[in-house]
Amino acid sequence: MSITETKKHAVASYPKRYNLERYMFFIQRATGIFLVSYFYIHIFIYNQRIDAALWASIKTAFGNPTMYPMSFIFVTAIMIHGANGLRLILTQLGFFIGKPKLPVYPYPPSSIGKAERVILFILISVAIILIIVALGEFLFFIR
Amino acid sequence: MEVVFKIHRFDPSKDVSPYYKQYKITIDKGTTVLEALLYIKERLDNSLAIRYSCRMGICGSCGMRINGIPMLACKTQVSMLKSNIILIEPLSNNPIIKDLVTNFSNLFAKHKMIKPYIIRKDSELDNPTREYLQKPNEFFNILQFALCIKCGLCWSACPISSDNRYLGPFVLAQAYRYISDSRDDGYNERFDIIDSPHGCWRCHFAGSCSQVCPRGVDPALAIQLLKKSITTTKLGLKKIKTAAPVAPPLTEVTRKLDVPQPPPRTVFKNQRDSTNER
Repeated sequence: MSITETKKHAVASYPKRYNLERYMFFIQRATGIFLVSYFYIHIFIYNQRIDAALWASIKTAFGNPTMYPMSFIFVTAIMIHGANGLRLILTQLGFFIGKPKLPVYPYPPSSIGKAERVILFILISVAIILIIVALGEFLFFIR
Repeated sequence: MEVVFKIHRFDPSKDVSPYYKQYKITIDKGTTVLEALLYIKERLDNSLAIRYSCRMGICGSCGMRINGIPMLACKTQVSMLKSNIILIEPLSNNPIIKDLVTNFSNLFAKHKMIKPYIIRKDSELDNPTREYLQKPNEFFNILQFALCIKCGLCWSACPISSDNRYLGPFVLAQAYRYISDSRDDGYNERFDIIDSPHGCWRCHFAGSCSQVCPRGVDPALAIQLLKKSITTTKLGLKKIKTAAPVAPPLTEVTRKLDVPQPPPRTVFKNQRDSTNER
């Protein structure tokens, strides 16, 4: 037996066992912040008095292939945010979360149960397919 | 099996900032985290502060973060964690009183806000005469949420709970438990508290509260059902509930013909009765 003191704790080899929905929550937050920021920048730029010279510079900036990854990230964020958002709307209206029941050990929660996971995977799969399609389009433009 | 317990220590009266202290102990196969902590407190360091009571997952006092996940120390076996280093920390989102003990007064104040008791429009509760009628399916609708032990694990696991004004998973689950109770008449009284920016709409359904609940209460389910209830109410689609009536008085009871008479009494109120009977 021994006792030692440390000011900082080292990273222990313990599993991170939080559920998938929690990670989806953080992804939803991150994509949401990104999209809102994008929206404000978009409104700000289009709120400027645009003359021919400014329009030409905007066209040049967005026509530059280095901007394509940005657009791709934007589309990806929309797809993931939209798919997960749709799941949240459905579950918050009481769909796919089950009903109250007598809890039996080991108490699997019905709100994050099979039905909810299936709808999550379906929506995220659709989003990923659309992202792949979008990636193909961007690669086509780059070529 | 030798295990290192890395325990969060903080005494607000002495320490400037929290620190971690390591204790290396030998544990048996079925040793729970609470037993290991009590061993440390009894044999190695009696200054360690822990809160516990029943040691069997009923009272909900020994909630703490074990390897980052909120759990009841009395229900968690060390061998189940599959790690030789066990990180023990107090529940997050609550002020720390000392070491692993946190202050729940804010949570209990919120619990009080949602009026966690049956509300009736009639005067039956003040002058009770008989029981309320409740069907088995109505009872099973609330039973899951009535099993809550207010251990605060859901509050600690919730990523939104860093917002101290948020009512929190177990409080909202209790709100749903009373709202959906067939005997209750207090939906309108609780409505404004629940339908607020810091009420059920603050929940973004991360689902961690349901995952960590040691009693299978599923607070996330209750919160989503609250949202559904509020939405249908606002759209005018919710059926108006009438509180369960009081059971009617018993009429004359007649024994069925095929039911035999009970055997004679063998236990008497007092000796005098028994002497008289004999």
